[in-house]
Amino acid sequence: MRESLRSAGHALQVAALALILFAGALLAAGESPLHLLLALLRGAFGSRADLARTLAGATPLIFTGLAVAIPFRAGLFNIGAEGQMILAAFGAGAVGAWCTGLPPVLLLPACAAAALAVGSLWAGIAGFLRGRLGIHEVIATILLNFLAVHLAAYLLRAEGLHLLLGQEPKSPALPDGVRLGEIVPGSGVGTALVGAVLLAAAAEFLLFRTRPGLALRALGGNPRAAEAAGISPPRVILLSLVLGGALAALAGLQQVLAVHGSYLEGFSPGFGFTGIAVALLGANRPLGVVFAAFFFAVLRSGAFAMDALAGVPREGMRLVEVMVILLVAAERLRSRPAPSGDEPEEGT
Amino acid sequence: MTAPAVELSGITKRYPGVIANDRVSFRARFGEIHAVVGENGAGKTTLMRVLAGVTRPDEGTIRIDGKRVTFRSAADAARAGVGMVHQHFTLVPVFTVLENLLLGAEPGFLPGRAAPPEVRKAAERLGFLPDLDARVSGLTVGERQRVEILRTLSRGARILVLDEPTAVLTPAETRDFFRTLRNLAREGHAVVFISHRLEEVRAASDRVTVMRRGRTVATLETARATEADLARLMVGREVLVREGGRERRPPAGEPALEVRGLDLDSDRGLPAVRDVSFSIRPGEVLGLAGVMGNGQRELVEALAGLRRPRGGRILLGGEDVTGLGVRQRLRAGVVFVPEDRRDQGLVLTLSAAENLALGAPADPAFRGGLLLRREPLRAAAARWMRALDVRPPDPDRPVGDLSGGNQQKVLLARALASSPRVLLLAEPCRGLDVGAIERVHGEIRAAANRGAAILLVSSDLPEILSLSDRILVLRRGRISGEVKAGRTTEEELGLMMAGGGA
Repeated sequence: MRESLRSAGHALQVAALALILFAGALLAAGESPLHLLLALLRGAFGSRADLARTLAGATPLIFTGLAVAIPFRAGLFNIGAEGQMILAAFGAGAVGAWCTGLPPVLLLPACAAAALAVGSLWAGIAGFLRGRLGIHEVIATILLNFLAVHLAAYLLRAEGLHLLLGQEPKSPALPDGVRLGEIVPGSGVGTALVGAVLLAAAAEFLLFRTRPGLALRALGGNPRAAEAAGISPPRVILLSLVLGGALAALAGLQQVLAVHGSYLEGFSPGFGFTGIAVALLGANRPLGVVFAAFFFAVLRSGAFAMDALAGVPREGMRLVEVMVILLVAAERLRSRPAPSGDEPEEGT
Repeated sequence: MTAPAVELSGITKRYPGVIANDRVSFRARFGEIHAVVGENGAGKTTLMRVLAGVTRPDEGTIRIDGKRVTFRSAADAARAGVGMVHQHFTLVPVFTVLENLLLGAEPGFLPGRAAPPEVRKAAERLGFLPDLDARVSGLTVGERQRVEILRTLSRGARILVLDEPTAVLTPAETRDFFRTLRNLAREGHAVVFISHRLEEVRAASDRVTVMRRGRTVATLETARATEADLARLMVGREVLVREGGRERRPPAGEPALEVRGLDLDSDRGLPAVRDVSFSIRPGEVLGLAGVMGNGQRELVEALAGLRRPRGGRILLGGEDVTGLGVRQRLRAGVVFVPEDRRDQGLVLTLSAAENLALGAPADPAFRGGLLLRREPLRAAAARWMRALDVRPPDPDRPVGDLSGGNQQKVLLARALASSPRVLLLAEPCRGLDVGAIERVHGEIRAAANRGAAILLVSSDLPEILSLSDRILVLRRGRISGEVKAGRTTEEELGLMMAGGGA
């Protein structure tokens, strides 16, 4: 608990510092940072609709943040959440289109199962390559991202699959019964958001209160010691990436079921990649991820208003995301012990 | 009289929760070998790090050759003539010796193959010129250490600080090493080294400073202090320096562990162990002596299930376990304490309790299904930490915060908590102080008396002699001799290790 609080405080500092740097950049460009900040906050929280958009925007980021954070705890850098999410979303859309005969009670779980299966399989490929063949997961997941985008595009257009009906590059609309709604209409608090927060709590429990979680963290802390203690690295590598893939899949599922109502090509503005920043800012703690996801959602949601009210392009907010990544990375470098190990009293 | 080479006064260094150095004073002269001794966690390494500019003290002053200095980094200290050789070597294994010597002091481009003059001069003083084109990964530990010293000297160090330099050396290498230090002292250098082995402190140093709980308690002329004096000063009470007669139950019954015709390859695919056979009965301690790098590491790894044998069989209580992995062997009661605690032993980012839970020992508190039962786990961890006198005995702290010797105790606690049938110990007391060694040796004997079959790999011959029932000597991957512990001497073992004798 103490660690959670400390990492939350730390994340706040980083987030604040990134915003201050951004403000400095704005000053240099002759803009008024205060004016912009107010526009940002108004955009994110100004009205009920704005707040709803912000909350809805946080949902996929919690999933993708967890999708990066959990493998990270095992020492693996899952750059592939984007691809895992896209392909999983396609899987959900396709199953939804093919099985329209099923009643919604069955169709919804079928879509979810398809998404989870596809996402964890896709990440599992990287896990297998890393665990059994020693191919670095960063390379594997990056390449799998490209593959996922093109595979989904190809399958969407494949003749025999009957997915592309109209002009738009998307799968047929799902029946209303399988759409995920909002718990309080108009609030942005969807079933998926509640699910995401609960899932983060479950991930926290998994990591810190269970044996598989301990194995995962041990592998991330010292793979050789973990192996000598009887942990099978290939198995834990596979497990952590499969979990990551399943979490990324949920982001895709949420987009299909709660936002677009079908698989829409190009639906993601980079949720998977932002997930990396979310995980970093959240210090790879599941509960930190929830906080970080909201922070980024505020930035994104407020960016529209900044664009409209203050004429600052939305991409400016990307700058803040990048600064967060750089700041967290710099912090890691600074706090990393010297090569000789700068712990107190080593060896005495 | 000239100013002392080093004069530290009032040095205080606090870490969260601990005062590592509490108003410490320390002086060393040019031309002397000065040993620093003390228990694990007494603050020796911290003091040496302060002297070498690696750690900045919170308070206190440093004078080098009479001049007051402030070190902001190790580079500052190096400019003032202070060089440190760390406990964990800092050479780049894939580089050649020359490349390592030049690292950090590169001229614009590398000077072909010839050694630059400062390296040659340092090598003369040291009496050792290594093969400059050899890759460091191919050197023995002793050679690496001398390369490390050579590098320090070639940067102009006149005050040499060594953190437990002999911990990794064989007896023969240790003798050579101290001869080297003597040369340096004669050349007018000040040599300061940390050691836990009182007999070598007695043999090699001119003066010795004793630290206890963050303070210096005495600086003595070595010739006027006995080992017992030093041990008492370190611990603050009387200590049995070398235990005599062993009250032991004679080992009995069928072998708990049997190895038949084992062939193993090294990581690089070269033969490491060839046709090794032996057995250990319950309650027996089998010592495995040998110069480091003669196949010991590969052998224990194979027994632990971490390395697949090329040929031969491993039997546990008569059952073939050759094909089983680490986990199954752990379940069968084979517990492994690796020689490098930071590399293969502990996960430094995890707490002591979590590290104890990792090895799945037999203590019921550590067992259990999918869930970690926190409270029983913490209580059991605290109990084991107190049993081995880990300081501080806090089960929630990351083990990376503990000193090296205390980390080793946590690792041993994990092994002992498993009530092992077969205990594989590689260098169990490396880096421990006399008080801790006394305790650990007691625990090893107790485990044997409870019926564990123990394989003890150690480069410390007195340790092997005092604990083992039988001793095997491993040389170039083969067993070159077997002796009963009561009927041999260090000299005889040393000969067998080096290639003479049986």
